[in-house]
Amino acid sequence: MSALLHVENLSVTFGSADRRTHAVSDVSFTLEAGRTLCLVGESGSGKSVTSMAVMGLLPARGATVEARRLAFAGEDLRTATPARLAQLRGKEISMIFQDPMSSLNPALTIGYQIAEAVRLHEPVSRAEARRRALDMLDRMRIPDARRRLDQYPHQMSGGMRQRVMIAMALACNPKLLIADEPTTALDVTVQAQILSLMDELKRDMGMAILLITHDLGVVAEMADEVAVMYAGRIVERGPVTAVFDRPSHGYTHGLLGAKPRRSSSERLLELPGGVPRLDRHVETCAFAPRCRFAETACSQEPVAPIAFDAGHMGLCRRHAAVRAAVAMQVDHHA
Amino acid sequence: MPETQPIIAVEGVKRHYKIGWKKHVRAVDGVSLEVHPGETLALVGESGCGKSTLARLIMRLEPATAGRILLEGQDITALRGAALQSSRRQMQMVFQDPYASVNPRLTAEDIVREPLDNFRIGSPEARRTMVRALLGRVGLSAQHATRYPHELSGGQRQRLGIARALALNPKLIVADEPVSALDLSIQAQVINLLRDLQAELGLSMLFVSHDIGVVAHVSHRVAVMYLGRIVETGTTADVVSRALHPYTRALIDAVPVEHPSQRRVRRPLEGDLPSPLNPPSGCRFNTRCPHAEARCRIEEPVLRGVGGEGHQVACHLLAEDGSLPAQKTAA
Repeated sequence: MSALLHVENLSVTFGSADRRTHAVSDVSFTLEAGRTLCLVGESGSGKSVTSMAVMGLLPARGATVEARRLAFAGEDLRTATPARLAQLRGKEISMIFQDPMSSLNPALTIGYQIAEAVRLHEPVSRAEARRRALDMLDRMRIPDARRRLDQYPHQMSGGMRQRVMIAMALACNPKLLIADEPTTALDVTVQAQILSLMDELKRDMGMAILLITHDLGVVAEMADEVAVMYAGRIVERGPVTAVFDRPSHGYTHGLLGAKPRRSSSERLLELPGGVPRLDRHVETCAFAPRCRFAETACSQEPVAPIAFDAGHMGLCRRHAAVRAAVAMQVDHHA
Repeated sequence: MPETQPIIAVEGVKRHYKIGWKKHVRAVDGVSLEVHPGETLALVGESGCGKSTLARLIMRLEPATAGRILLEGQDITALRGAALQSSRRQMQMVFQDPYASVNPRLTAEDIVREPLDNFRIGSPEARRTMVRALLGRVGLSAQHATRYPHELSGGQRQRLGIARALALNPKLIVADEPVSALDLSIQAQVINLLRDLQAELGLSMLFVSHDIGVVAHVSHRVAVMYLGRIVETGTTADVVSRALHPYTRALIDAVPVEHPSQRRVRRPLEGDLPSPLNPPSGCRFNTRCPHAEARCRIEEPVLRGVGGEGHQVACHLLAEDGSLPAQKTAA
């Protein structure tokens, strides 16, 4: 089966030759229709920059995007003209962001804004576009949708605005939805509403979701596959259950142990120190200085991708030790 | 409950903001709670429930519209001037955004020394020693002491905020979402630091948070707020694993699962939080409660004991055994 989105060896750097930031290095993944891939990582890990690069939204001045392959539905995005990209964005590939207020125009009604997205990509009348907008609001389970069409963003709650954003993103039936921390600014009860809505729409419309999040709970809830990012690289990638059950990179192991769980009150696993600066291109493991499993070779020799098991791979020469530690913890808890 | 005198006791406190002719936002609307020595009480709720306002009322950063706040038995609700100043020394606050809550033009050691200077504690030399000890206590080294806030990472700034709050050796720490702005790996460091401080210093703390997972790790007791009122309170174990109030149940049910194998079809709470300008009559949760009956729309429930260890719930429908009537099937 050919993938809907195919990213191979994507690297993004910012700045000029003397002050370069390596935001994303050698990132590869594929995403198939009807699947959800979660990019998970902490601030500065490169997850948002990866998605911006896919959308072609990084500024041509300042950002250098390189990739061996960057293809959407078989079409090369690297060579696509700006006009073609504009056609794809909003129609075939849609994006929603963390803060709906700053993505909506405060001076236009939401009905106008959703209809605008439709009219931009499809030759329909104003009335038809408005009907589509109303239909989308209904699907988002916005109560009293007809009245809401004529309201402005400030008249709605945060959860409602995020639903409007999703309605706008999905109005043209995109094949791929990129959602960058779509529920981070929302309360948990509203987050639960939005996540179950996104899951439902994914099933109904068969679209693929690239979901960017820092929250392992959201990953556990939504992902089919997960890619863990650290310092601009995907350090581990695989089916969600495999990654949660058999984390095979020191960083994934650390993240899972650092997450406060309501089912436990045990001391959390601490990852000492903080994230490294990205001003140099490093071939060795960037996590080694914080890693409890690290040996000398980790910070001296380059890391190469290792396949752990079916579709589960990563960049960790100490994966056997990490897995052994995980197995011990499981025994300990059993 | 232990029979000791509480560090802080809040009795029927209200905070109403006037926003127009005969219009009031009832941010906090009749709340009572106690924090005992060595105890951490978590205030949990979603945005707009009044948890931060309550924290600021206790700190006397906001005047209460009604009710009393007692610090070790002394009524501080109406204190002014020097008396208020000295009560402030007993209570210190840690804020959510560690960058916005420190002076960017002071170095780390100056920030921690400022409260000591304000209250003229010890000689300048003694203060310097105390500051170094405090910084060391929160895991900051001598090389951090001379840095400015922008030269520190988010986690280090939050450690700084904690050191400053500890400087006066206060009776109560009020922490308002102290780890919410931090990345997961840094959050774990700060949570562990707070736990160590609880154990070593016997800290009493009011911990405001929206995150049930974090609360399970730092607090002894929990009070759940909804629209300006406490709907459930009890030990952390009781509230987190045996939640009784329909709102607490929905809140905990909405927390994402911990492992993909726990995924399930759920019925998320419908609708949004009603406006605190005009809260629903009767039980404030009745407009979203799947169990609500006619009585819930008329009569306001009060907290009553259900089960042991001070587990209290404000719900008409809850039976003695903690069960609720069947949910309405209407969508």
